[in-house]
Amino acid sequence: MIFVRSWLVCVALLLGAASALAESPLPPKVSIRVERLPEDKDQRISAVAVRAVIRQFSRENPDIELVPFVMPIVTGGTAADSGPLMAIAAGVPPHVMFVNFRRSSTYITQGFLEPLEPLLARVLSANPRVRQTDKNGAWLEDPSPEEVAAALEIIRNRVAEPVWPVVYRKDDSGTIPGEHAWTIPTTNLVQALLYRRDMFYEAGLDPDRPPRNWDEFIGCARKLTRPDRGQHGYGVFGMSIAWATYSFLSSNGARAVERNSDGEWRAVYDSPAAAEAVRYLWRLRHEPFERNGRIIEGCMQVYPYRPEEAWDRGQLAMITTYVSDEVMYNIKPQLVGIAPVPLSPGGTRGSEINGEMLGVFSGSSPAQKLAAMRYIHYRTGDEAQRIRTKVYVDGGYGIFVNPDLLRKFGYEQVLPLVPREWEEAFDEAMAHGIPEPYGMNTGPIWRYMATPINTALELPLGSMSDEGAQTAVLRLLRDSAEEVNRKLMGVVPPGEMRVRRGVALGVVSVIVLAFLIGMGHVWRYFGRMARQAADGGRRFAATGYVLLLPALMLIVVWQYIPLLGGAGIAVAEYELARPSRWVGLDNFASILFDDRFWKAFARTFYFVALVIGLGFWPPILLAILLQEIPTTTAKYAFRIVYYLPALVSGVFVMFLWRGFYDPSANGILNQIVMAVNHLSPIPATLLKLAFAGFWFALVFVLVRLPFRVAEISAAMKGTLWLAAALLIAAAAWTVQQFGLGTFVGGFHVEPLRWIFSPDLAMVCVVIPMVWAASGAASILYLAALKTVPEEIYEAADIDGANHWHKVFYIVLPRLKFLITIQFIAAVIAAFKGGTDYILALTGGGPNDATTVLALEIYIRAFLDLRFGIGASMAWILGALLVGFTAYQLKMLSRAEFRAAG
Amino acid sequence: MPIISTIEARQPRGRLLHAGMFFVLGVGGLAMLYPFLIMVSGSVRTEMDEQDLNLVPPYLVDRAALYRKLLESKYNEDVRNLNRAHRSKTFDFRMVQPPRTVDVAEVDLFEQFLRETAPPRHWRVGGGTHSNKNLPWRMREIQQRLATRFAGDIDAYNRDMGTATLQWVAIRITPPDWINRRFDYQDNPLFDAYFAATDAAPLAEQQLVSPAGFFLETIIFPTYGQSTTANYNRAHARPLASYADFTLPQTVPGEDEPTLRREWLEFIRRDLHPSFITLSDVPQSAYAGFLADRYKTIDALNKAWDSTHADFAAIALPAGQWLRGMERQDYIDFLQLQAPESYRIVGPEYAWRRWLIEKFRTVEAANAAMNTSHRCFDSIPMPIEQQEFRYITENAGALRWKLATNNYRFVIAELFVQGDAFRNTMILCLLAVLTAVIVNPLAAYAMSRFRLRGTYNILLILMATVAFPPMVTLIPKFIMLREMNLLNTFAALVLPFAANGYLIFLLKTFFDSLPQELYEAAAIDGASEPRIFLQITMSLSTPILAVVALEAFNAAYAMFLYALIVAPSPDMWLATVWLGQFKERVSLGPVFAAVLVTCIPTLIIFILAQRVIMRGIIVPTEK
Repeated sequence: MIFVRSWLVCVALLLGAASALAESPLPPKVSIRVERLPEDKDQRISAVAVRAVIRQFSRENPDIELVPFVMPIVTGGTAADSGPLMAIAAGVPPHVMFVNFRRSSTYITQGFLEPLEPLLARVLSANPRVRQTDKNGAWLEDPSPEEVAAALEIIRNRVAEPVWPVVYRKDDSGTIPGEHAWTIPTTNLVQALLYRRDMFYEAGLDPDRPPRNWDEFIGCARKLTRPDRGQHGYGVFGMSIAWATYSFLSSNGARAVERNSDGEWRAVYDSPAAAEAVRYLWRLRHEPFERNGRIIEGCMQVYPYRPEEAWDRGQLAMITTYVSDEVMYNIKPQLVGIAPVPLSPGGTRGSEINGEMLGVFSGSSPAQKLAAMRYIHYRTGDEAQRIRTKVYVDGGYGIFVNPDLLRKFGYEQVLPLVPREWEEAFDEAMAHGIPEPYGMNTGPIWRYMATPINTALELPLGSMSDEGAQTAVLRLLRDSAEEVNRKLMGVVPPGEMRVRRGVALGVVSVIVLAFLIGMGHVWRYFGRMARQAADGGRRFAATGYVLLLPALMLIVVWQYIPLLGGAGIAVAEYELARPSRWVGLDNFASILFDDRFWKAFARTFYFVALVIGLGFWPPILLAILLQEIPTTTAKYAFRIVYYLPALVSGVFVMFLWRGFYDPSANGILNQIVMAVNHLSPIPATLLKLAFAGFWFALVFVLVRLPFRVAEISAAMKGTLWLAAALLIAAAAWTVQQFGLGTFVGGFHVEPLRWIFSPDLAMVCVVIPMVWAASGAASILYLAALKTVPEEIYEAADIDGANHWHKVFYIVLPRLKFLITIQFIAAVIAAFKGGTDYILALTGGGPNDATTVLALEIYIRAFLDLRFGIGASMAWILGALLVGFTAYQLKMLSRAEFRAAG
Repeated sequence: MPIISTIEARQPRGRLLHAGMFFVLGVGGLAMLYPFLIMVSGSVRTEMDEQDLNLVPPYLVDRAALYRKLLESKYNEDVRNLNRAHRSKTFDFRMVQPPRTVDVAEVDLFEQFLRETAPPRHWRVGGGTHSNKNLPWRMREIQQRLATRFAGDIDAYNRDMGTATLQWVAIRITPPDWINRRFDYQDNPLFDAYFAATDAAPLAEQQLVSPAGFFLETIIFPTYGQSTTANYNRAHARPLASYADFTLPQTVPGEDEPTLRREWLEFIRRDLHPSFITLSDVPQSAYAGFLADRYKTIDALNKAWDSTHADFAAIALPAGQWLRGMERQDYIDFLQLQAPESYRIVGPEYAWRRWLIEKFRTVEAANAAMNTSHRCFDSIPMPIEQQEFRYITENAGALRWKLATNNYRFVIAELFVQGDAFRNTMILCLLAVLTAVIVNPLAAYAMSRFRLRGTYNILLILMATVAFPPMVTLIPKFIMLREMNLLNTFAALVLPFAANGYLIFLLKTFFDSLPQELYEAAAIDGASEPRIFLQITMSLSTPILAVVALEAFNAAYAMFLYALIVAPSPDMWLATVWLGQFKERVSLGPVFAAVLVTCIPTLIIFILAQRVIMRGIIVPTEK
């Protein structure tokens, strides 16, 4: 028993050490995490100004320590908003939260924000007891209603008129009654058109006359497009296309969301006006035009990265982005012009407005709340404005400051220098401002809205009739708007809900049944094994159980309890800051009728097929080939080469390959692929023919093999012929796609878009996995092959067997058990896994093309905070696999494990 | 070579088959090797050349390529700076050609000029201080200077700067755009360190501002295009063969060149920083009067300027020193009122000519000293390209070393020295390996050695967890960790994976196959249970324990999504999470370097454990 105890102590020490390492002592002053402090390397004047404000604040408030809030960014762009949510979930929240319009509702209804006017009243009150708490952290006293009203008035005076409804509103979840001020804006942002004056010059356009309406805009954009230089007139980031182009939609009279008569928010971007705007975007993107006798397709680019990069490089002439009221933009006036977004054909304009607002996280301690409130109060106050204006003026940026502020702080001498058109552009934009959607659950609206727009941009609208195009686009928008209403706003008619619940009940029963049958089967099987193995010797039974305990405990605590918890969450609406609600099978009901779920479901199968189809057989083939290599040197050389990629472990492989998959012609892989373009026609033709010859030789071998090797199993025969059929299909597809003519003459390979192309992205995920794993996996097969005695081969030789006979009668049968076990394990792993890899490589994009079910679960649970939905999906995935798993366990129980060496 | 028998291998058919195998393996091996080599070679590159396919970076062997790399670094990865200095029209650093000849005498004279006159700070910009994405070497030097000055206390730095930087390595600076009218800077420790680093840099690594280059960039190129001088020549009295020959007159051009005169004045009045403009033939009293008119009292001026002038008469006309704040604004306004003929541009190129005139008196003498053939002093350019090329010729080795190691220094600073990511990963791997080789063998031993009731049912309970995708338990696990306050701890990363049913099963079957006689013998000799466990079971199972350990190591080393969810706090980032962030903000070279650095632990483990692992490969066979 001493021995047992010492081991347990060892384990306990280890665990203790683990948790102790993470603890750190609390600093004496109040330390608050602040979101969006300017990054140090940010030397833009706006950042310099904010830092000056912060420096002054820190001097005046030595008891408060500001700590920057840092969260990992998840690749993919769509998740840009999810950092703070993940952080709140993970218990490292920002105390001063950055809130934009879009986030505001989610934050309020999830209970993350603290009403500000009582808090400000506490900060300002003369009575110190309103700032003190008892032992339980409850306030000793509340500020008087007059003090609260005065505080609200202070906040009101700091908020621009069109923004006030966003700041001061109800908690839509109804948890905190009444209307409150939840945030205070630091800056107002408004979307405007920025254009490069130098590129206007070069294209022969007047830099003082930016495009005023849609016709002028497309005209300018075309003149500014130079495909030979990779230069485009207008461009957006694909992921945020809905946001970047919203001003086109809203100018045309369309809105993303609207409050209906019941005061509920609904997605309404399925209007004809929106469809017209999207079709206009399509014209920008694809409509061919002629210049100097060359046909150019489209003058707008959808970038897989922020368009500012192309803009800085001088490859993009116009962007639509935010300018702020305080400082127009970090721009050079010789270089950049600012204009209001162009007028729609109807002569209307709607610029999106937004605000950078600050709020206090409700889960902070009272002291942190007060500190956060003091910070926000200071940061949005007069003194801060004065400091910032001074920094701008002193820094020579006086002309960029809002003239009102210049007047207010006595910098009249700068006033005449301010370019008129900028102030006008800003005022014009503000006057026609459409607030960014700020309603209930509208947080991810741009993400959802991007899908129909991106899809519409890829439609062949040019070959459709006017009406047909309008209908097609409208249909996409309608589907998406319905989806948003269903999913984000939770709109389902009651009759349908009943049907859905019925279906959900059926599906859940099947899941439960599947688990019961699958596990029951294995249970019986293991029971039988136990009887076979039983030989009665039950020595030191107690010690045995004690030794088992750590492992058993760990597995029960970290697997079975969460499993039960998972079942609980699947039938609940779990909220982080509020108690969860029982919702029965509604989570299942909603996902089963959710397109997104089924698409992810289908993609999972596609992913598994690719992983198995491309990745499973290479190690086997490799092992057989390596076994045949006659010289030792060559054998070791090849082994080292094939094992080399295994040094790059796990997701690091994806970080590496992400670098290779650059979509431009300069990308590493594109350069390799396009190298064939340099071949002159005759070698190119020969290469093509050689490749085709190789292809058909392979097909020939696959088809003929079963005849040569007579007693091949039916399953093997089927596999071979299936492979042959796939090869033929691939060849037929190529011919159909490119025509037979391409088999003659040089190559004309265009740069591939790799992970930025929805068609290729999934293959791009699998290639690095195969690259990294093949060599290491073949070692196992090699080891198994070594166990085959030489004499068998020699006997076969004497019997006159040929190579194929040896492969099919000796090698494969010997490997059969191993292959089966590996195959099942690979299938299960593929179904379950891939999330790490996909997340690291594509983040689920482009346009969700790589969002497999496991990743969708992650997104819904941890980025949308819909834990119930995520858990339900996970159960369906589990049910899908239970059959495989049962079979796997059965196989394993029959296996004997031997070290090969 | 079992399939192709030894006899067959000697026949043509066998040889052909072998050749085919070598071919297939060779092609496959190339596909394995090539990406790896690209990574290795890319890890020593920068944005300019990191996508090139040649496996040996050209700058290591070729002087012209090294020249381009120096320019990329010196001009802070912004080709516009290069174009200003060289009066060239390059789109890309890759297209730059080194000068054909280098005249040593001319470069020596030029460097002598620089040393003797010591141009003021606002005439020079530190090279290698800024990169679009990466950490250039002089910026690293600035960071070191700051760390030394604040004795490693980043909080003190933050208090002084109003910043919230977490690490020295995160500090960046945007190089001053001195010549641009809108540029100003705040006096702060960062700029102090920047100036110190710039002053200490070799002369050839300091950019000199060029009013002529800035004039071309802001006035000429936007109006006339930069591809040819044809449009320019149509509009101007004096034609240019190429923009490289362009010189900007120091005083306003005469009425005989109306276009250039207009453009010159526009440039002076709108774009050029007033610190580069002096006035000749304007009395101080005019300036004093202007200021008195504007401020009325000297106190008001002192307040606005943050200065301590006794009276207006004591304020000297600016003579090319650096002007800032309202003083600059006032001088700009004063300039607008002056006659065009009184403007004079000051800057390095004018000082260079001045210096030559004073030294040689005649242009012939200067030409003789420099082996040049200039017609007059006004057309003598600064031999910057030659200076640069000579510099790389003389310092090729050191520069190559600096360039090749730069990415690694950057990565190592973030990953090991100042960041916690690598330390966290190593701690995690250690904990994961230790728990795995303690918990699992214990359970397996219990089931193998003691015939417990329901062994197989327990085994199934342990193993059945594989039936559930990790996603099912991930969400509740996360919530549990949250409620147990274990988020952002190593416990959260280790405990849920400590016990593994499959490994226990594997170990159990392995332990079962150990010879029972040993146990019996040990029991007869009276060995205690711990002794039996350690000396028989464990010591006979080293290979398989190595496999268990290796599996735990690999899983911990590559942990990503789970770590992102349960330990997202920056001080708990693992190398994977860190690299996921890192790759978003840097160019390819550092990413490759980082991936290569992360290969090192794997390689070490592999080399150390290779023999044990090879013996421990577990092949399942049917019973």
